[in-house]
Amino acid sequence: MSAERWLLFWLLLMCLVIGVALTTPEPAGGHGVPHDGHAAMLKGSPTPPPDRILLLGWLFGLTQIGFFVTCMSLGISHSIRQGRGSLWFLFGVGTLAYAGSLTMMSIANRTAIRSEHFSFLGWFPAATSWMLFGMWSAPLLFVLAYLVGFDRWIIPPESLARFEELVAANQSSSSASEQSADPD
Amino acid sequence: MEAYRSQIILGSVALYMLMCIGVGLWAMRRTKDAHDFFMAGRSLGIFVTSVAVFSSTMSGFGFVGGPGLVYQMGMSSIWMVVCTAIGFALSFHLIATRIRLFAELRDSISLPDAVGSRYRSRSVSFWAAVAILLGVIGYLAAQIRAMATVLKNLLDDILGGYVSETGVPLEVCVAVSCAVLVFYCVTGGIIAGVYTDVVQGVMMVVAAILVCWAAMSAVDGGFRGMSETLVQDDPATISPWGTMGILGSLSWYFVFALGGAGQPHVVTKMMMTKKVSDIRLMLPLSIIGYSFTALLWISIGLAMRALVLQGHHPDLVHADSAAPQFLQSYTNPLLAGLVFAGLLAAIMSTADSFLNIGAAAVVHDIPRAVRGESLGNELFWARTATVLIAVFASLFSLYAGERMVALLGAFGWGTFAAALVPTVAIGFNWKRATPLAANVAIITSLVVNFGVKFFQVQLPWGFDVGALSLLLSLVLFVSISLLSRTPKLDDDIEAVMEL
Repeated sequence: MSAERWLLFWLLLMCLVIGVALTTPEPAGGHGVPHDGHAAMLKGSPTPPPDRILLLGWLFGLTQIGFFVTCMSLGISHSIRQGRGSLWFLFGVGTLAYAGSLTMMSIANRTAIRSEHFSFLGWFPAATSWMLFGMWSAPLLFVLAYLVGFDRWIIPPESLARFEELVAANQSSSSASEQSADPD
Repeated sequence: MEAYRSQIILGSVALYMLMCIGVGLWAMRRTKDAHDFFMAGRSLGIFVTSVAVFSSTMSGFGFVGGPGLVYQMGMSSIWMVVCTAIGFALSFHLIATRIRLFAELRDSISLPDAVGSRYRSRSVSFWAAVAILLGVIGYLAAQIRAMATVLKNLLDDILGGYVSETGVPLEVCVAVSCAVLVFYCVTGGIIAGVYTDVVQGVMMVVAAILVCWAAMSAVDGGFRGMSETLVQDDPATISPWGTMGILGSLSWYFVFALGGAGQPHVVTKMMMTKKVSDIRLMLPLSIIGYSFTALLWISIGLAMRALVLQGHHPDLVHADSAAPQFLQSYTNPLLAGLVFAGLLAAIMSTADSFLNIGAAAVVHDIPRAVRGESLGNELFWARTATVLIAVFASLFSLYAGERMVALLGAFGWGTFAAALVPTVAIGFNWKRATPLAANVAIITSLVVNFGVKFFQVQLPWGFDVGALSLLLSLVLFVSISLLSRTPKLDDDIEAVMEL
């Protein structure tokens, strides 16, 4: 299946997940209520989120990751034929790390909500640490792929040379048309 | 030193504004034609472009609104910055190289210019320019109002009693702050814009690191102490989803991660590098810079919420005052001066980019789309348009009413994302994308975003409307393109898309 059809697949899956989530009845104050002691603060919903919403949220996150990775694959040079194996390996590891962080964060958060025990991992509750250090940094593997593979996968030297030829051809044709438009 | 706090802060801001004027004068000598005015002669180096990219992305919203949102709803809004790495990775994988190639191939001087070449369609170029112009007016009005409000607070501290009961009039503050902005934008065009961005970006990074340190010192136990205080009061606040919940938070993540690839003021900067290969190092540099500035967003919001909950600081009436009050109460006057100047820098670095792309839309893109050619003597008209747009946005910010400003301000990120991510980010990498699909995506974005804000529609579970409009425009764009016949492209464009 082509990358564009994968894009459509992820988008339709995302629509389905969001459609089901948005038609699930929301309890009063489902996305925050005013804080009882401080005017400009909000507090979390008095009703813990149902498992159905937590599951749909996790699926929404996974479909986003699938969509983002497919999008990035669109930006890979169309002309390369060899050496894609190591690129897809990096992309695969990056996707697993990214989806793994989301999953670990979701599990840690659900465990904390249900047990009402907030164990800490470093400076923050475990789920928040997964968010700040896992979700933030896992995509750095895609950055690494871009950095080390720029000449191989993004714009190889032969593509740059071909581009220079195109620019030169455009410039010569535009100067020729200027000369023909100006008989002097 | 404490006795002179207000004077030190105002002095720092005045020095910063003088620096902007100096850069404008310097850049004026390097701006010889419209190509320099809009594209900086496509001669920028790696460091300059990287700093310009991240400092334009981080606007005044990040320095004032961001900490306010964290104070108000805990971790929910931090999803807007957790997406930094994936957001920049997406923008660079999808756009950076491709738009740079198009810019050189067709000598494009704006994003709609490149869009028109890619789709071989004046209508797509026209609608892209209209979306950009509407967004620019709204965003710019919001930035000017923020800039004037910051200046008014500073001037009132010193001059308030001598002027009137209500302090220095807002109109005067708008005039002063806009005069500096317009001066360097008119004289030096985007060259002045990017070089002031460099100074502004460095100031923002230094200020954010120092403020983060100050925030950790202000609360016993640092971040661990803040977290424990928040858990005791309301565990949801410091959980990954904050008070907004899982769907609202992840919808922000979607819009901000993917939306970066559709911000015209950022994408345009990617067209200005001297060499295509420079783009490689711009990605990590932009991420590092933006991540450092985001420290201010996170640390002030969490620290102020913890300090108020612990009873060490009086309750805030407005969440947006979290940053100013923290700076007034918990930082050294010199640092406060640097941060207030950094705050103006954050606002101005975004505003100057908007002024420039707005002028390009008026002088170059819309006339070309309508009558096939841009205005004669483009440099003169570009400077005139820059002044007129700034004046219009200033009047709009003062007299259109807060709702109207907010309404068009909301056009900003979400509308650009929904209009330009499909058209540019996907369309520049996919030969099958059609002009019809691009037009539908842009118009859908304008109608949905404006309509929803105008009728104040709210979605359940805190789901962000911008995310829905982005999803809708993406689905329409991909579906219409797949259902249409493969469009005919110009040979050189097709060749570049195959590289």
